Amino acid sequence: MLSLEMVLALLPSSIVYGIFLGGLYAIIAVGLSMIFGVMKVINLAHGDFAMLGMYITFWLLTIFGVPPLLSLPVSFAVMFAVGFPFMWLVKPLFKRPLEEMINSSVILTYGASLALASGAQMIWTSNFRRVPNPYWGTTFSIGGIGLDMGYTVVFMFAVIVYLMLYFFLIRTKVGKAIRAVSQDPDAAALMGIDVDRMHTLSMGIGLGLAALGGSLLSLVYYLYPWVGEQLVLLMFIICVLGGLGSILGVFYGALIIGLAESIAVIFIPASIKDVVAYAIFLGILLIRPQGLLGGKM
Amino acid sequence: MYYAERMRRGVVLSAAIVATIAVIVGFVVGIAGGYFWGLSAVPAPVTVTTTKTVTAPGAAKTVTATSTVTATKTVTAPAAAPLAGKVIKVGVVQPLSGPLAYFGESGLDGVKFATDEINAKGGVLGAKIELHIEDFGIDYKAAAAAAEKLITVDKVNVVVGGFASGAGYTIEDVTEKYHVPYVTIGCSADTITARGYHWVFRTAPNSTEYMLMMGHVLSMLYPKAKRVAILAENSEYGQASLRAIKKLAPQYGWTIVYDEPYEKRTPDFRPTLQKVKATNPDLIGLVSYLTDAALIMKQSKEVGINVPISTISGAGPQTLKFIDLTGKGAEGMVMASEFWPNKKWPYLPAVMDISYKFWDKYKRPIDFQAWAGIGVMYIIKDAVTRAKSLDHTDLRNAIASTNMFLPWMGPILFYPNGHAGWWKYNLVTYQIQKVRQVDGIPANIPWQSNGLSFYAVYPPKAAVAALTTP
Amino acid sequence: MLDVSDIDVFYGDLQALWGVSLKVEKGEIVALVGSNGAGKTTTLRTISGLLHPRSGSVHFLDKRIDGIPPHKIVEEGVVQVPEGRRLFPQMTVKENLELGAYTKEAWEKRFDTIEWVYTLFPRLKEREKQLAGTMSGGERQMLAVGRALMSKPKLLMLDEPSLGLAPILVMQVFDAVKKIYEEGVSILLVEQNVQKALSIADRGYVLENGRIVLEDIGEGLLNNPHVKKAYLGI
Ligand SMILES: Nc1ncnc2c1ncn2[C@@H]1O[C@H](COP(=O)(O)OP(=O)(O)O)[C@@H](O)[C@H]1O
Ligand SMILES: [Mg+2]
Repeated sequence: MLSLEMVLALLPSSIVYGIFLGGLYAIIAVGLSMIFGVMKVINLAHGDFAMLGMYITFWLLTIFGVPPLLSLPVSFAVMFAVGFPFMWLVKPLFKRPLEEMINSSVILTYGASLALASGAQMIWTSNFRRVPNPYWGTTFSIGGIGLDMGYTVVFMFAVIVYLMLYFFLIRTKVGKAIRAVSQDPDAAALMGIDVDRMHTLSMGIGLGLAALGGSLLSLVYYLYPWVGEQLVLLMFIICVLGGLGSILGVFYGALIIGLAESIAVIFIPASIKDVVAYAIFLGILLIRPQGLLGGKM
Repeated sequence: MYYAERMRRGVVLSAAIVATIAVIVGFVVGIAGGYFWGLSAVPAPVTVTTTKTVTAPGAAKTVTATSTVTATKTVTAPAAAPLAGKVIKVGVVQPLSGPLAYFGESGLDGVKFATDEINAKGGVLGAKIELHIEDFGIDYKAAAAAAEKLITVDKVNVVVGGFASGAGYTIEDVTEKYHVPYVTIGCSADTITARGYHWVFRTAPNSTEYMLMMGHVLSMLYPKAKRVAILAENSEYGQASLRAIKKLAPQYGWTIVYDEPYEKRTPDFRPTLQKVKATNPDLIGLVSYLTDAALIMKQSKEVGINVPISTISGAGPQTLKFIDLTGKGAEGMVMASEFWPNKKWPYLPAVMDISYKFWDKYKRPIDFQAWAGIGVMYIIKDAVTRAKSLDHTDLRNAIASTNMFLPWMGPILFYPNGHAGWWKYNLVTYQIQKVRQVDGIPANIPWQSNGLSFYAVYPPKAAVAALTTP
Repeated sequence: MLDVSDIDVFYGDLQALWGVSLKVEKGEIVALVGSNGAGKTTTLRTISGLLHPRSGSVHFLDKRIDGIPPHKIVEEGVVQVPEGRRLFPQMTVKENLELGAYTKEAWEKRFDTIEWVYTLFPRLKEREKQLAGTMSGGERQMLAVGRALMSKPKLLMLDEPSLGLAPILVMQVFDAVKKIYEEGVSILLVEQNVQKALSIADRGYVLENGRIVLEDIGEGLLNNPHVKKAYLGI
């Protein structure tokens, strides 16, 4: 156990690291929440789309020399397009009763996840790779807190993209239509909203955000075909914590998990920091089964 | 035109994508099913089942084992080839998907490399080696299930593989139960061969051997270090290494000031590293998987750690991939390793030869796991040659009495508990240094990255370069 | 204007409507009455395109509209206020109204339309910024009707607008329906409140167990002995 003095010394930087990590988690997780919110599909392949985003960034840089930050829109656009065929894969589920549909979506997207990860391993091998970038390992310090350019840039972009998404959903006509579909698809249809199209659009945006989040992650982490598997459980916890379907909720959920993981390490061995995340998750769900901002999109 | 109709046009495209996914899934299932394409072209075998009673050594009881051998009709056995027409079934249990796949595949490539070489020269006493490959991902229970399937369904003569110590434990439980010889690839936790098992043979150095070597080298490199922090991953392997380190620490005058295990594969080690920093160490030792080690190296600078960090034991840092991932910052790091070509060694030309051949075949540098895979297959070849039988007990006894020489490992013989008997004398410490021409090793070696490679620095009989303080 | 002709509608294998036919002419209020479970909601959902008839047809302004998706039917000018209001609870009153004007034509005129709706239901203007889910029952029904009007419908269908409302509010709702009718919108009114519905309707249909059993002018039905006995308790 560390002394109080020590804890106080470690706390400020732990909080900063936690917030930065939370921002990264949020941007990867938000698409998962959005897809669930609009379509009630639990997308277990979400992490694998983030993985594909990482590879897009890697190959654009390796083959064409595209700077990693410029590949963000490409990642988004490519996976947005993949949203269309992916939609055709999950669409047959919509004919089923809700509960059955949620269950089958888990099985279907788990299969897709395995296929994507094994496909990636087959094409790109199980090799670990790194996206060389000027931010990697560049450090600076503010008020005694050692910071890394990589995480700082990632956090900035995460916040910018998050604000853009929020603005899109709150302010634009299409954004409002997507929210309407998430709240009541039949009523939305009766307003003249093309529900199918909103589904496809949200799928595209959701997968696009996953890939964009992956591209950001690749600035600070290694990529390999199975990295998605490593991400998806935490993403899922964050979404449920924030309230599945809630966009702001995901942001809070991600911050809470990021902070919890960072701060917990001061008091307990790092090997059980995930336990803290799970404990908070269970605690909040006991008090608020619908999550922090359940049902608010 | 309605949207739904427009969407229908997408069907063709979608169908193509779905079909592609289906093909991929099929392929994966095919691999998971254990069918090794390259070797499936053997003539249709005739299966002969024989039952005989054997005595398991050490086990003071008689057991009945059913061994199935396969024979082909077409081959006529020459007198010099007592096993002609038979097939040596080798079950390979490795992590081939998930985060451990990088090394799992490497070990498997070593196995395939040696198998191709041996089969190309007519096999062993006329018998061809046939591989039955199983993947366990990161699920150690699946490793046990895979071993069980290989033994009971595929009826393999010997099981190899593991990589992770956690998988080694579950596999050896199964091979012990069925009395089938098991030769590990990797699996360095001391305890793998300390459980009184008779059917397991480990080809890797154990944690204590790594630690003895590294402790010695690090205390030479940093003689003033007293307070040592150890960052060990929370796996069987990590914790076994940690126990070994703690036991040996007093010998080097070290006080272990930090020993909390950490969760593998976390994107952010900075909070943990801060806490390590707060314990005020003189030296930080890592017991980490490849990517974690590289990330910890990088992030330690971010939190302002400026005391030396070194791997003490590592599943991966002793590979070029580590330099790839860490970049120039890797220069000066030391690590003990089973194998690197860049050392002083009487049989270096043979070693170089295999290194280049492997490079040509797989287009990447050979690493410690691939070497282990090759070694394991030659150990099995030697055992079959001496046993002149594929029976589990005969094979086990033959492996136990191995006494041979492999140019890249040294003299091969096992302790009675099954642990490799050669690492105590042949483990070498390498340091990451700038690539250059040294003693018999050219500067244009393909196994380099960022202008760096591994050079043997200790012990003196193997050193090609001087140990330099980073 | 609206011509539903001989439709059979199924939920899976369960048939809910048997050969239902009904018509709404321009400038008419038509009531569709029947007890709970008769198939009134099913009829409206079919007209709106949420359900598809297995046989029969639905025409609107001589255009066949069964089989086309719901949002296209809204574009044709057929809009319904669904049973139970079905507002977007996490959105403000204003956002709900805006979504009512989702179709391209209506969207362009939404600022004018919203003023019109606010004059019909001044209460909604006061509550503009409030979340729909937090309003009282009567306000919600006003909002549901207002939202439907935002698309400038040619035919407005209301599914049990008085359900669950206090008598005074029921009065207000029917007043509002009449006002809308006077603005030139044709109306198909579904009700269990048979007395009230038939008294403002030009014509009415009685639906029983998925079949139309009676059809007459409003007054005629109110005086029909069967209707009197079964629905008015006289
Ligand atoms: N979603 C559904 N699935 C199966 N049957 C339904 C469904 N909705 C309604 N029904 C059945 O169809 C019949 C007509 O229902 P409905 O149209 O809701 O009646 P009403 O609106 O006149 O009360 C009822 O027998 C009801 O049980
Ligand atoms: Mg009804």
